[in-house]
Amino acid sequence: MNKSILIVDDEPDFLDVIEVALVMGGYHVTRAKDGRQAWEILDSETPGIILSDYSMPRMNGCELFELVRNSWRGKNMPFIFMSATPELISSVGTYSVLRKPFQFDALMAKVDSMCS
Amino acid sequence: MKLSTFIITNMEQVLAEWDRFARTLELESLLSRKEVRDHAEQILRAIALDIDTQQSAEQQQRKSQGLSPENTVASGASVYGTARQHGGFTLLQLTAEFRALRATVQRLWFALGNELTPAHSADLIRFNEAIDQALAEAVATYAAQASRAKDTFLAILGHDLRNPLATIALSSSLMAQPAMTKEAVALLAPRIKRSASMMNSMINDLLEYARAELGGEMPMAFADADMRDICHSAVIDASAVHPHCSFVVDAKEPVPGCFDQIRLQQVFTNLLNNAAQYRGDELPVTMRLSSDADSATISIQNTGALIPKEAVDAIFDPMVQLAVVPQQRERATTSLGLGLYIAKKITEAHDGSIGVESRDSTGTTFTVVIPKARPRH
Repeated sequence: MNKSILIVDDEPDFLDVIEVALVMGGYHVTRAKDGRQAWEILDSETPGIILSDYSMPRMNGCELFELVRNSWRGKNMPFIFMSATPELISSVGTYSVLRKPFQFDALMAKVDSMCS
Repeated sequence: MKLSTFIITNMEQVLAEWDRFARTLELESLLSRKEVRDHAEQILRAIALDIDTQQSAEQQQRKSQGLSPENTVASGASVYGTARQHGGFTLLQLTAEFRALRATVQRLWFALGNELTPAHSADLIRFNEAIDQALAEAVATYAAQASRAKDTFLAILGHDLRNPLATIALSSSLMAQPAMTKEAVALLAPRIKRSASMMNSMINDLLEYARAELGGEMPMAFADADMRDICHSAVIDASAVHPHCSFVVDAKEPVPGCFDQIRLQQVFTNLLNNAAQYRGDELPVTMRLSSDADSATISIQNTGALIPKEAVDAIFDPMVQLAVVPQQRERATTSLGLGLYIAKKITEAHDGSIGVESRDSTGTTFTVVIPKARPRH
């Protein structure tokens, strides 16, 4: 089981908090501040799960999702969108959604189920 | 002379007369005078053409019921309605323009000494039908644009409020975990505090916006104050929200005057927060204060993603901004910009001005000019 997660969000405070939560849940965490940085990280790392905000500058979550799904390493990689407005997500493909705000238990239930 | 011929051959006179009226509307529009005139001319030409087009009794009946065909009057009016909504006009101003268009044409035409023959009566009926059709179409388009902007506004508001709430919700549920350490609590606590403060500031902005839109006066408290102190206080506020941002302040001399200290601090904090949010990686935000005998000038500058040209003109009006630029590619895709709207209102209450420039060479600079004397109103 690959217990590594790439978290992507343009809110630094939220990134800090979610990192604390996931580390407490036993995951190894890599962080990116937007889709573009996440895509660069994916050049050298293969996380077990991507947990990404939807609305970000430079490259949003949907654009990242599309790139990931079109890459040979990422076509089956579990992808979770975190969004305060999930109804705006227009991506086509298999992904999961965590509606912001969410609590620790909901986060762990989601990532544990995707990881297994 | 036929009314349609009169409209085409006297277009300049009609538009000049109408333009004199339009200037009395005292609106602060984003449209140039030329654009305003061009739209009116487009409508008048379409109407003149419509008057000369054969129309059956059934078509006339349908038009009177608002079941207008797609014609050049309708499409011209649709452009007109969209442009007026994007230009910051109110619906009342839009209808007043049409009223003036109707009155101007009729008055100038009758001034020629035309007797009301049956043919002239028919022309007049067709003219009024076309004006009514154009007005209905322009209002419908305007209302649809405004409604779309309001929906976007509410969606973004929900999104913007839930983001700091997400930090608070996750942090507080984490703190309840048995495995929580003192170090983790020390990391989470300031983030909860910052998020709560961010939400409070958004709610305050929203209330100010609602009050201004409902026609309420912004309460102001003018007193002797030093602009340099106000600038430093704003930097302290912005640093609390953006602890990793370096704020460089160039404000050496005291600048005494009669200001609403709290309100101006709110303006500068908003501008500094914006600059910190949109600056490039690790780059500082610079605040400069200068003054002359009459006024203080405060500029706040950051480098990083520029504001698109089409967004600059509408940046101080959230509803227009949302309609004109639904999504800004290189900047954050949300944020209502209420802070900028409020900054403009507070600056105007000081009889001052606020502007923005966004260029490759210098980045984005907001400049606020505030008179030192207490405003007369």
